[in-house]
Amino acid sequence: MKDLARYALERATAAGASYADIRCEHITKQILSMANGTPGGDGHTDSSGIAVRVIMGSGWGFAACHGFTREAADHAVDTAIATAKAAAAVNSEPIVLAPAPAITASYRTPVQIDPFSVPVEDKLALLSSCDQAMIRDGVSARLSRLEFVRKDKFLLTSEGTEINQSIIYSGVGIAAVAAGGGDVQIRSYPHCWQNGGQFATRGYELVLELEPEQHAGRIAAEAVQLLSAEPCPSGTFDLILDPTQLALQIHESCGHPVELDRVLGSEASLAGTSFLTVDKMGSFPYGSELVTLTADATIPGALGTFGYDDEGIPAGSVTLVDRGVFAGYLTSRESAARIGQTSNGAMRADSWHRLPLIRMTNINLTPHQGSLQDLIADTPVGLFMTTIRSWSIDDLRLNFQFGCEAAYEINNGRLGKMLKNPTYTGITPQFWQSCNAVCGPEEWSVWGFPTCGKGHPSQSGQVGHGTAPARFRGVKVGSGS
Amino acid sequence: MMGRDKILSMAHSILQRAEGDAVEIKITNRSHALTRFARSVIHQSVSDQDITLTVRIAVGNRMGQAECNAVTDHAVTAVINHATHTARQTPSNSGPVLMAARQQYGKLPTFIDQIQSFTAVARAQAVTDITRTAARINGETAGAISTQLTEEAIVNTQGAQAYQTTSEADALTVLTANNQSGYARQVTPDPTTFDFTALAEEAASKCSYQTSPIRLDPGQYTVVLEPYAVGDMIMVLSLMGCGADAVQQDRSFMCSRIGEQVADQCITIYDDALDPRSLPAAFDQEAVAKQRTVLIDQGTVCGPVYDLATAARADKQSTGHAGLHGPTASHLFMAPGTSSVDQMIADIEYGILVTRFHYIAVVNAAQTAWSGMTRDGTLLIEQGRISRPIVNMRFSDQILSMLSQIRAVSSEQKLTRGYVGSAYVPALAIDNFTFTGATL
Repeated sequence: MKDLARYALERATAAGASYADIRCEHITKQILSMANGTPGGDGHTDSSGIAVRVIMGSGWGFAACHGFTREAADHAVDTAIATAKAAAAVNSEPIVLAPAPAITASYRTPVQIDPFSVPVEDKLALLSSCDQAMIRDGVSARLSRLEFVRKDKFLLTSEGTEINQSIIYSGVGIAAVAAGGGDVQIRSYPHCWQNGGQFATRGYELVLELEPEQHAGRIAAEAVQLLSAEPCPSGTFDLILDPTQLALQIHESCGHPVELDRVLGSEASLAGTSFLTVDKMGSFPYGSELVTLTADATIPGALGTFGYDDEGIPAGSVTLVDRGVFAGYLTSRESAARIGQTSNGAMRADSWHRLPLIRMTNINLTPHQGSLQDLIADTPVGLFMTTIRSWSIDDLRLNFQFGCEAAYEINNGRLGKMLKNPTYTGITPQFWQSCNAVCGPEEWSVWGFPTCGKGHPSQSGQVGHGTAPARFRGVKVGSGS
Repeated sequence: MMGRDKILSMAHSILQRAEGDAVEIKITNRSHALTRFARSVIHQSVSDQDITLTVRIAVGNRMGQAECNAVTDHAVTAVINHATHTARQTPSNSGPVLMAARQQYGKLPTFIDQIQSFTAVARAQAVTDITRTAARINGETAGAISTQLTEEAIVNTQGAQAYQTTSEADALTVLTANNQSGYARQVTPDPTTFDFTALAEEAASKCSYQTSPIRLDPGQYTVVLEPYAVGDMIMVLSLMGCGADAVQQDRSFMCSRIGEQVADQCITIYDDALDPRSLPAAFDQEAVAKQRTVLIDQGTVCGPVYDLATAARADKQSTGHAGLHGPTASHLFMAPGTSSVDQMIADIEYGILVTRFHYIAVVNAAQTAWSGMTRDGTLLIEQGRISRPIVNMRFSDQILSMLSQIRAVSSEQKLTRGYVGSAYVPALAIDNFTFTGATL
């Protein structure tokens, strides 16, 4: 990889690039799945290639080609130069990158058990155990899935940065779908099925610790129970969200709107822009005083943890919302320069053939105090909702509606009966300003989202969200049925 | 592009090397290019090339699959070994391993030269054309112009031999002016049909009103859904259960309703990948020839699309709709009517024109419940004409309920791109569409 990257960098600078970076990447992925006892058709994937990013005058160019050959490097460099020149012919604004130190370093995800060393037979046996445990009258689909990814990459820049990284992440998820009487309900473990379960920059120990086979019977029973549950009532309620739902709330209503490229308009034609415009930084009342949100790419084991971003900026931590006040963005070198800052290291591409974009790292709600049990006991009347089922938010990240797999009524400080099809809706800053309790560190957990969509062409980012349960007063709740 | 003979020869050569009771080799060679712009500046100009080799090997009735993006001797050996190893450790399937038999495929038009000659310079020129039109109304533009060329070859030990080249060119823009925004998109297999001035003018037409957007109360309104919105709606309906796996797992809106009238008689929805008005494809991921499949005929549910596995379970033939995540209707059509958008507006006393939807959520697939936002051209209709823009609104409704309250269907159709593939659809006028909120 290294020799090829050096060759490509020399070719790019010789062609006149004022800046160039070369990223050589090899991705190994293993997906094993089972649906109603039948193994899925996924399997083992290897993918590798070279990516070249250049600045020529006022234009960026990017090109990528499969394989680690000189032919691939020549093609990628020459195409990147040509596309940059074409862009420069249209653009008049100069491209300014915030300064960054040249770094020579390496990083490797620490894992206890290399997931690729575990025999396929053992993994399929686990899926079979889960599948068997979900067999129950009323369950129409039993789903289980394991995913393991290793990304080995080498970054070389024309400013002298050389970084080797090997990032490993693992994921496990199961779900039971119950159907009857024209109704369909789902329960997932450990996280929502559409997300693929729980993901972390950890090895096979993640799967062993989560023990999905021990939870399979419970979720199957809950899915069937939901069929005969009452629909969630519509109205205004005090709402407690558990971390498997609050993680999504953070993701959609804080994580995306603080991406500075989005704020500056780069995503305007696709995902939209952001209500958190630059003039609001440092003063806008985003939430209540209990709401402090950070981006931290260094949390051990969290899915959005890495050593360096794809511009060679070291992983770090930044405060996004400080005791309710909007405080900062996720940035790249180019976007940071536009607001007079330096990059905080959020530029990542999902693979060798994609351009780095500003991506969430681990976006976290700082814990306060108390247990979930304390919080429920402190709530005379309300609702408790768990696990993502559906999500939608507008192009400014203001008006949202989220649905959960299940809700429970809270009466006199105690959890009551289970309710189906719960949804809730609101306006982002009004919702966070209504936050009147966040549980303590003992309830705090990090949830990985492996397929955060952004960009055109679409990329799947790996991000994490740490949170404890929290309560919001006066939330508009409805039924999605 | 490798060309038919070279890529098929390579696939057959790999097929000879793999040992198993049944073997399938798939090679996909793809090139993609895109120019993206915002605030009338090109901020992203990219190109990528990749080749993917996918090997499926059956040992008895156990299947293993592996994939890599190289076709060197070493890579081929490794991928065959991975697939074989996985097959040997996989539990037995309850049924036999299924692969496509030798068959004939429809002939597709090809646009290789047109795609290859639409270079980064041509894309940059297109950005200039779009921004020049926007400047006439002091507007700013954002958008993307992209091309993709894909050649696929599949061969297997059952005798199937499939080859196709498919292309896609996509130009979209969001134009912002006067505190309003407008949207336009052109999707085609042939980039020489692009009209960038028309694209920009269409977007500009949605944000040229002299009044600021007003807020409407939540409630039920008569709406005109332009084809972008209709395309999203039927692509989401496809996701909600037009695949046989969803029906067989009792999670589709089609369950127990085949033969039942679920929509107005003017509604016919079908899938036809061979129709040149779509983004044509001759075969699916399993090398089964694409078949025209009617999903809803004059309001009556006809049935889902099938891949080999779901067809075998239902004792039917595959309709050629194998996708990455089960059988998928991805080349959708909605039959046209006789009205027009202008006529629909003229016939509405008080209502809303919706240009497009944004960030749609499937709230409950079995009940076709969905929610999302309007965007880039939500306009108030008063006394038969567009009067002013509206602040973007949240809708929450059920698709089958909407399709049962059709006022009019336009004769004009448009190719739209989205969630599951493409949809060639008319505009619809619908009564009692439910809005539950608005943005700030």
